Amino acid sequence: MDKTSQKILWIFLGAAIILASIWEFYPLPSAQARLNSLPLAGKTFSGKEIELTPFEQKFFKGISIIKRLYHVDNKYFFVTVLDGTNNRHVVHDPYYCFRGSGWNIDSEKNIKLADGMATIVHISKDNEKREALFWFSNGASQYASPLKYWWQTTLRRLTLGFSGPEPVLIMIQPITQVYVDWNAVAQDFKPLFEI
Amino acid sequence: MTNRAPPLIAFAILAFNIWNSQTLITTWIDAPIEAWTWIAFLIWTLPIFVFWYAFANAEVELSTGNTLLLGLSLLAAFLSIIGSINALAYIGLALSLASFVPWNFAHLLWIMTSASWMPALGWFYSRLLPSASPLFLLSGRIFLAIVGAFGMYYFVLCKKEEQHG
Repeated sequence: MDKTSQKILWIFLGAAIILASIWEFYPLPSAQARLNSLPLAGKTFSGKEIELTPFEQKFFKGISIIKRLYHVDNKYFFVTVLDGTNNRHVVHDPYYCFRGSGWNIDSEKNIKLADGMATIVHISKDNEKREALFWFSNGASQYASPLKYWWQTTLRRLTLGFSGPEPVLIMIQPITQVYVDWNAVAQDFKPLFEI
Repeated sequence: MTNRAPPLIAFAILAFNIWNSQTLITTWIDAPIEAWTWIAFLIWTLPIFVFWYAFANAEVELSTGNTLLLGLSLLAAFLSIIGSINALAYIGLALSLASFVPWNFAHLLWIMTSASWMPALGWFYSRLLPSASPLFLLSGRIFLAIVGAFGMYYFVLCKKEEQHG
């Protein structure tokens, strides 16, 4: 490699470090207010906080997270909401997490929400069957595509937050039931579907 | 003519990419779907050590520290930071490692097979093969890494023959 090329690369390396530092330390507005808007109880639902496990405390360090158990429609649901503003990488495609935990994806189906779409997945492991509903929401639109989530959050970071609010991942899983009437749940648990 | 070690800037860019790819190790440890992926990484990087072991004192003209590869790796690393995209960070790491072997016919295949040790492959697997076992994924990773590394080993063999010829 000639001396000129080396000098150019040194300059680019220095510029990359300086510019990257600016981006890395620029404080992006979080979605904390939207997470705070989800109440613990309402007329048709009630919930309680669930403590994070030591692994979750380490894994989700620095990010805003809701982990609760809610009672809706005579059923119990685990509800998780993740705001990846401070660390986007902990917000994974739910398929990746399910497969990583040994669950098989038996079927998937999209359902309409008020501002977009969500995905219902049916998963199984050994003799257990479960169901989960998940979507991403930036407060204005709802979608289930992780590619769209990665695009929106990448654009937000490239533009230092000017492209729009941070999308959050919302997941709700019945504890034991499968084939839940999600339209009924959405009616009785509106605040979750309005984050 | 003797070979020369890569210039200092190549090591600096590699160090920057290694620093920028720290999450790779925690992902290999924490994500069940990425278990044992480090084996594919070791296989994939082996050609670098094989090359330098074979040509440390050779009297063959070699040129390492490829400007284009290093420039692209720097660009990928920079974009990965400002866009918060780990996949680009790992691509940057792969490109900077690849610059430590002289450019040859096997390079493109070797760089492409760096996907064998990247978490993005695990994501594709979780989406495209929702019922396949993690062992199947690991086997695929190792196979891919071997395919990429094999081409580079062949290059080293050819160069050795050229040296003795």
